[in-house]
Parts: sequence; structure tokens; C-alpha cells
Amino acid sequence: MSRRIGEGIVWIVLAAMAAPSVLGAATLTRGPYLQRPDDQTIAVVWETASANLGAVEYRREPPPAPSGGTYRVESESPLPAATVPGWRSAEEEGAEVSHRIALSGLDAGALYEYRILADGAAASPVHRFRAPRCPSDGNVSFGVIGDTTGGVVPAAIAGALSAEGVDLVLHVGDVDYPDGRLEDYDVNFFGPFAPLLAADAILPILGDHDVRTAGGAPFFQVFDLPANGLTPDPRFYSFRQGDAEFFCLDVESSPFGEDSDQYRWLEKGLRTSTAAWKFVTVFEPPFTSKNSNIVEQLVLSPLFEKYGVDVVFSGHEHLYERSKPIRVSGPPNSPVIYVVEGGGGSVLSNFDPESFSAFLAGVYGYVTVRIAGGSLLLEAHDAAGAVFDSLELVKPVAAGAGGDACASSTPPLENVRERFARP
Amino acid sequence: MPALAAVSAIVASTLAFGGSPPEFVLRLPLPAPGQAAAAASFDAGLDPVYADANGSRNEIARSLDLYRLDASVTYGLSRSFALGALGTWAENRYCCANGRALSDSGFTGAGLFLDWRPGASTSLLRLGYQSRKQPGSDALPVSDGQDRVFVRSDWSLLPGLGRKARIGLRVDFDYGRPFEIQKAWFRALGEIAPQFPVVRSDSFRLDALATAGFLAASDARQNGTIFHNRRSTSARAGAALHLGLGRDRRSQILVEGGRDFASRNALSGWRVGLTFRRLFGGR
Repeated sequence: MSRRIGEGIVWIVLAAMAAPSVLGAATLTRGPYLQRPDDQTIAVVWETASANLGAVEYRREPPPAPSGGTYRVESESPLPAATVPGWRSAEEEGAEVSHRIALSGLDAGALYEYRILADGAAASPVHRFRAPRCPSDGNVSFGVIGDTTGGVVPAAIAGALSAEGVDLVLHVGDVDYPDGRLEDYDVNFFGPFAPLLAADAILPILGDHDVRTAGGAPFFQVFDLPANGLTPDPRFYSFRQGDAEFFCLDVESSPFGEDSDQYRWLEKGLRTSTAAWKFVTVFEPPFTSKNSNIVEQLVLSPLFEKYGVDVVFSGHEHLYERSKPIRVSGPPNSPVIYVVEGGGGSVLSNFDPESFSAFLAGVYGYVTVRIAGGSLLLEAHDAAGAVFDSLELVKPVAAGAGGDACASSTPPLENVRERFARP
Repeated sequence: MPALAAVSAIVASTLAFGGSPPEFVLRLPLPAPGQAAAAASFDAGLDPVYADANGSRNEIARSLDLYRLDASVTYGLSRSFALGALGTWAENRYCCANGRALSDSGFTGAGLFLDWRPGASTSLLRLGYQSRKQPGSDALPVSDGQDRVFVRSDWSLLPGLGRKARIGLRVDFDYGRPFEIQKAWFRALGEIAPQFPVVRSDSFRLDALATAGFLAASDARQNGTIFHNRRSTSARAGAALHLGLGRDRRSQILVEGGRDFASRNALSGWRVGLTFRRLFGGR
């Protein structure tokens, strides 16, 4: 208990140090952090100590080192007094403590700056994010973290991964140790990962610790994830980023057998996906040198192979492992690479290398993946950012094969000021 | 309803049976001094599903079959003690992923055991140790490599129940010590087995048994494959027929069938078993 209190104090102090002088009366007690409720939208989420009228000011980042060029003004509509000309604003309709503002109509793949307003006053420094990429965009990057706890390691990972400049971050589960309680999320997750979460949308899945409180209800209170059309909570979901599609599964609280809704949803999603690259996150690793989940091997792996999933990311075991390409179902199906990234701060696991293991280490850290057309570079980093394992995959990808080119996403003038009404 | 009818028939035949108290059907009968017993027991788990931590059923695509054959010989040392040895062969088979079967089979280990019958009771306690071979396959290994000690016991409950029935209690416990990265493993099974005589003659007797029990284990493990690594529980119920042949029942056949219920982190499905046992010498 004293350790938990100590961590809480540390994060409160760090949050206070990070708070800029521009802060007005409203104090952010959580966030801002970014979410991806669908393929086009970025949601900015934060909490404040007291109810206030929240708003997000944002603009496309000016091009670097202008040499006589001009920056396109996004909006000339009337803005609140506190806003800066050239910025767009999206605001809530009423005073809230928990704030969520969805930003849609963003220019696909563009970098944006944003800041939080509370009752018209600046309440956060300016942060940056990248808008969701258009399906035909062959350049995609993302980070992978998992089993995050303990404060120190997550903070180190957050610092190093922030510097990577990836588009988004996948969390492979066990976000909130030990029991997924709402009151623990700040100490375990939002505090240490604050710098990362303000810049990169985080897309987590449920781990076994996350479902211990009310079946994971707190998880869905704090995360705003893509809907799956089947379950009230998006316990499993998919989303698209550029020419990559991500299938994020739940094996902790949702059936995944052949007769389950999730299995049929996954099969349909994989079968109809037009993305050149397909990735899966599933908390318990189907293949690992610690405790492979045999049921997943029998039920899910043949599906991954049939529909050409490239890499499956898991957590649960507190280690890093990359498998050789594995093909349970034999030719002509595609072999799949399984990566375990559970080195987010919990006590590292021991292991006994299996024959399918290509690289295995008890290391705290994270993974980055960078895709350029038909080339993929996967790198495993320690918590300080140093690369200790890497993998390159190459496959033929036709230019623009991943989907239609994005229509101009410059928003019409009447949509520049978006309002979000909380449900 | 068919099950109810079957139970009614068994009860009716039992009530009509009369005569002397039925012999207690032990899974683990103790050979008389100087007598030897050989037994072979075949078990199959057919097309199980996986029940997750919430009890939700997860259909395992295609067909997963788990077979095990246990063979043992026992020698009666005295009226209360017997010494035995056992060996196990198993096959795990998953068919077919894209026409390709995943399977592993082979001898999984051998062990020794000591049987003890306390006093004049019909109950029996078996204490044993079995070594396990290292896994020979990444896919559905039949051996987990985890040596174990085990206790098997058959207890006769309510001996005063009379001529109509006997009630047996089976309590099993397995413990595998930690090794390499594997944590200590345990498995405990408690099962009630009411027994009803059906037919008896000089040359044979037939008994019917019903079984209902509960199994708890530190993981969902079957035939050496750990299907899930968290605590596993399951209720089970079934029925069996026991046939004793010969005046002194020197040959015995036990046919069993059962099903799992209310499983958590466990394989769940139908199980069938066939045991043949033969006594030698000591007439």
C-alpha cells in the first residue's frame, strides 16, 4: 500500500512539474490522451478537478522552416476569445469533469497541434498528433507495449517511445494491475504514460488483470475504442491505419471459439480486409516459451494463417519473444510471426526456449513497427530505446492497392466548429 | 427423459435383486497375498470444448481427441499391502487443420505404487510416484515432463446401507514438483459413486454405477498438454457398468462414460473409458 501511495505522490509531483505556466483555473487530473473511436476520428480525452466547459483547439502543424511559403488557414469562423487565429476549435455543450471531444474531418495522415481549453482558458501545453492515415497510404508506424506497471519502467518506455514518432500505440493487455480498478488507472497508466498518450492514440485490449473488476467495466470507462457492432462494449474491435488493418481480440472475457460471435466477426473481418498488412493483438500468446495458449493455437492460428495475418502481438508473459514463422495448418496457408511484448514493468518471467523461438529475452521495453509499402521493419527496444532485436519483412504490394485514395478531407466550413454532446 | 428412464430401470432391478450385500466395486482392488493383478485402462476425451474463466464455451474447430492407456501390474504382499508398477501411453490428435493432423503419441512415463487396505475395510489407498518423459513435440505433447506423486483412494461409505446398494467415494490427488519454468502442479478429484447390483450368477455379476464429482487443478492439463495455465475446475457426472467374470471374479471389465459440467478454464466434453483387469495365481 505504501508503495502505491508513494507512486501516486511521484506522479502527482511529476504532473505538477509538467504543468505549464499557461494553466488557468482548471487543473487537468488526467490526460489529455488520444483515442481512435473509428478510422477517421481522433478523440481527445481528459479529466479536470472541477466541472468546466472544455474545448480543444487544433490546427494542422505548420510546415517546418518556411521559406516564403504560407500556411493555409483552416478556419476563419468566429472563435472564443482565448483561441488563436488559424486554429479550429471543438467544444463541449456543457460543463463536465470528464471530457471527450472527437475531432473528425482531419486531413488524413497530417500532423496536428492541439491544446486543451477550460472555460476558454488554456489548460494544457500544445501537443501534437498525427491524423488517421488514408487506406491507400503505405506508410504506417506503430508501437506495441504490454503488461505495464510499476511506474518507473512505464515512464522510461513512455519517454523513449514518444521520441519514436509512431502513428499510434497498441497495448496488448494488463493495463491496470492488479485488479483493473478505476482508481488505479492514474497511478498505473495515465500518470507514467502521460507524454506518450498526449501524442499517440492508444488502442488497448483486455488482460486478465483488467477484467478482475466488474468484468473490465473501468477499462471501458477510460478508453474510447472502435465499436464492433456486436457487443455493447468494444471488447474486441478492428481498425484501419493506412494500408494496415488491426484486429484486437478479447480472450479474457469474450468467447472466441469457432461457434462464437467473436470468431465469426474475426473470420469475416480478415476475409474481407483489403489491407496489405494485417496484425492481431491477443493478450495470451498462442506461441511463447513460457505458457503457450494451446486453445488459441487450435482455434485462432489456422484462421490467422488462412487469411494472411503477418504478425500477432501478445503480452501476458513478462518477456520479449519473436517466433520463427509458424504454420499450424500447413501449406498453402501463410506462416505467421508471433511476438510477445510483456516487458512493461512487471517482474520479468523465466522461460525455457522452444524450438519455434527466433529471439527471446527477459527485457523491459517496447516494440516499434514501421511499414513503407511492401517493407516492414520490426524493432524491439529496451526501456531506454536501444534496439536489441529486429526483423524485416518484404512482400509485393501494389501501389494504392490498400484502398481508395482519400477524398480531400479538408472540412467544409460549417463543420469547422464541432460540438460533442456526451451520451 | 431417457436418462431418467434408465435410472428408474436400474433402481427397479436393484430393488428386485435382494440377496446378500453387493460386493464393493473398487477401481483399485487389492490382490490377495501371492496373487498378481494386471490391468489395462483406456480413456478417451472426445471433441472437448474449452470453457473459459467465465464458463463460456469455446468450440475448438475440427476434432480434438485425447487418448490414454494406463497399464499396471500389482502383486499382493499381504492382506493389507500390494506393490505395483505402471506405465502410460497416450495420443493427442487434432484433425484436421487444412487437411493436416497435429498429433503426438508415445510412452509418457512409468512409476511405482503401494496399495494399502486399512484393516478389514474394503477401502483402498494407493500411493505412487510416476516419472514423465520430456515433451517430444511442440504440438499437443503427450508428456509434460513433470514427475509427480499421486494418491488414489476408494472408500466405502455408509456400509450399513444394506443389500440394495453401496456408495463409494473416490478421492485422487496428484502433485508435480516444480521444474525448470514449470510451477508446481496439483490436481484433486473427489467423486461419489453409488453402486447398484444388476445381475448376479455363479459365473458373473453385473453392477451399475453412477458417478458425480468435482475436479480442481492448477491448470487445464490433459495427457501432458497444458491447454490453459490458470486454475481449472470442473464438475463431472457419468455412469459405469462393471462386469465380474468367473466364480471368483478373476476377470473384470469396467465400461465408463461421463461428461463435464460447469467447467472453468478447462476442457469440457464427453469421456469414455474401458478397463480390463485379470487376477493371476493365488487360488
